Amino acid sequence: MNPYFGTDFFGCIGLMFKRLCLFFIGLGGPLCSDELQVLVLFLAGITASLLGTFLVLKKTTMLANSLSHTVLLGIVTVVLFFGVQSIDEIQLGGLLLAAVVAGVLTSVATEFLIRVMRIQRDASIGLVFSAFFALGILLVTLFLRNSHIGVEAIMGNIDAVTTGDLSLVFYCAVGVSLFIGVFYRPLKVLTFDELFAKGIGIPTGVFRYLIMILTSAAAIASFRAVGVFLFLSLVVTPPLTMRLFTHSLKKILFGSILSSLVFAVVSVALSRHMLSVYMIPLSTSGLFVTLSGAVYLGGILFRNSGLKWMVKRGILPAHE
Amino acid sequence: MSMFFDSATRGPIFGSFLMCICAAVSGVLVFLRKRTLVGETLSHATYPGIVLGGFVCAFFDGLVSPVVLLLCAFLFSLGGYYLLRLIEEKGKVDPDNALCFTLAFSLGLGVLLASQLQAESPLWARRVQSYLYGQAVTLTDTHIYLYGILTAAVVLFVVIRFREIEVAIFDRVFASSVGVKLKGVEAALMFLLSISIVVGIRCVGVILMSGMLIAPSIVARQVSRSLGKMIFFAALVGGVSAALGTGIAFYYSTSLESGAKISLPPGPVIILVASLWSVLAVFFAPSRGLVFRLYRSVTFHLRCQSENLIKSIWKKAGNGVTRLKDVLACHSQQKWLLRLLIWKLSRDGWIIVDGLGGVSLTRDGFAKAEHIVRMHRLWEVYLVNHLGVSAKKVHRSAEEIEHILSPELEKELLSFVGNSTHDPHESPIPGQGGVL
Repeated sequence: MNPYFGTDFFGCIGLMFKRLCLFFIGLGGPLCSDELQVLVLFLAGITASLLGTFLVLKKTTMLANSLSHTVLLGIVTVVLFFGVQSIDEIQLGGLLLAAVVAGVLTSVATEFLIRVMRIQRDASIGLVFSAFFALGILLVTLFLRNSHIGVEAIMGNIDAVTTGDLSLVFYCAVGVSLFIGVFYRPLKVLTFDELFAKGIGIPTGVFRYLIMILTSAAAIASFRAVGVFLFLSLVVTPPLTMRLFTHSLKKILFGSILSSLVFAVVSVALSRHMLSVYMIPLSTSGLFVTLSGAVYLGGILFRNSGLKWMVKRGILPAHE
Repeated sequence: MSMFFDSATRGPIFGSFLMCICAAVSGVLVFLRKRTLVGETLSHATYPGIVLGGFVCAFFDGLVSPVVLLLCAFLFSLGGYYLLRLIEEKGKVDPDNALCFTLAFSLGLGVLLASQLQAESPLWARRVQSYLYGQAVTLTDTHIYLYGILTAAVVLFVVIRFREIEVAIFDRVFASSVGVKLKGVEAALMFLLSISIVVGIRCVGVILMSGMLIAPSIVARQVSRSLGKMIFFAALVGGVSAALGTGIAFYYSTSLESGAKISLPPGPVIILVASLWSVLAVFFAPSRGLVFRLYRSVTFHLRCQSENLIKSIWKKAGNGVTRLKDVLACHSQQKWLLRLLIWKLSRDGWIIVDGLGGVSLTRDGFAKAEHIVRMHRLWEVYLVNHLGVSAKKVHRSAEEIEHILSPELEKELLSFVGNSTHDPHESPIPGQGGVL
């Protein structure tokens, strides 16, 4: 029996806070579905927005878009290699293999089209991801004998998350945080001035591939929970929102983590609220994306008028 | 073959043929504007529109025709474009990031709405879902007429406004100076793009629509150089891939029905067929394909090598005979390659190799060698006298240019060099009256 049954928005948040506190000090029972959802969304959000900050600042988010399409090919490789029967069975090793395959294949194919074949950049990216996605969908449909996988890839199926998903997302979050923590300085230099980074001997190519591989690992880990496209929203939206209000890389990173936490809790609680009070079953991941997107759009509009207002009142100097 | 005429399969095959022609035509236009990824975003932006159309259809339950879906999709696609502009201009965001955000946001909105539709009307939710990957199999003759008219309208518009579009795409400065309204053309292009996307999603699906915009354009760009030809080829490739892909998907769906129930979604199959064309074009297209470019560079390289061989025979022997071994010793290339080139040169009548290891130039070979040396030395004179390059540095550049200079360039060079008889290193220039 789900303890959240029938709770409203604030009741849900309160209960969740209590139960999670109990769980982490070791007194709580097993995690129930809503708590799993919050944790998975939160961890997926952290992973995606940490990587997303660098992708957004480097203006290469369309490559993340490519990756979110091509991870299906990586998953196919795992299906062939490990002989898994459904996506739930993918373990850490499989995840890594799939991520490497997808990340490297996408980068190499795109670079090949641009450099060797001299096809314009946008069309190269587009051709690679649409062709790979088409191939991936067909192969997954055939090998897994599952014709719903295409829809699931887009929608995600957050109601069905398991502790297996949680552990995958957890590994990813830890891996990505470590990566960024250890290589913070070179990553920062690389993001803002690639030529300078090359000049002082940072292996920019290696870092580019590592970021691609980590991004595809994160995409695959959150594949079942939020689907590949909503993952994309987790990548771009928090950094873009934070970028509106601050120029500091650290603030963007920490702000993105905070916003992932807030939106994870709010979207799960709101979806529970809608179900309990209005009997409307809304998609939690859809809510997550729509809410965070709406906040960003609001931010764009609010920021401009807010700045004008502050200039008019003399709070800010006019040249800002 | 018979499936092209069967009344059940005719609809899907001809329908998708028409739909993808439309996509390919407007795909070429955004391709040349280098904004193909806008197509990706706008096609994803239609998804919440389709779901909303599903709500309307479910609410009026059979009173309105499914054309409402298309109308909503069209409006949302235009809305997506305005959202994109808003973010780019007001938020001062890089276009790539704006595209990515708009794409993800609209899909998220779509998923949110779809979950509500699922609760309200599972029937319409399922129909809406089929737009994700396309549902060409259920196209009927009515669809052929509807989509045929839309496609014809798009193609007609492009044909009528061809000049303005061409100028606006290729030379924006010139276009605005002759009074073409660039903003108008841009808006018209986005309008066309949205219509084509709406026409195409029924067949290819929201997710993969951008592939249908891009792949035919790549093929067309590889094989043609003018806008008119590009549009024609793209339409051809798009239409044929759609018909083929639908045919394949249809064939497999029906033949597997006895065993496992797997129906191939037509969208991915169509995109795969189109991508296959573009991969072929990227490798094998005449003049722009990789294979052709490699062939050209290898043959040029070989021609340079054999000309160098002739030249060194000329230097060693002049009109007489020299030892082949000595000639080959001057060249650092692989021995087998040099042997091959020598064999080819003697077969083509430039040189004569006798049985005793000697080699001499034929009359043609001699003339050719003199010509090459003449080019080399003329170029050196030109560089030193007219461009002020130091005489020590000109040799390397002349080594390269001697294989490239054409008779027209030779004439031009002569007009500069005039009657110099010797090159900067005091060697006489053949054909200029200098003493050898």
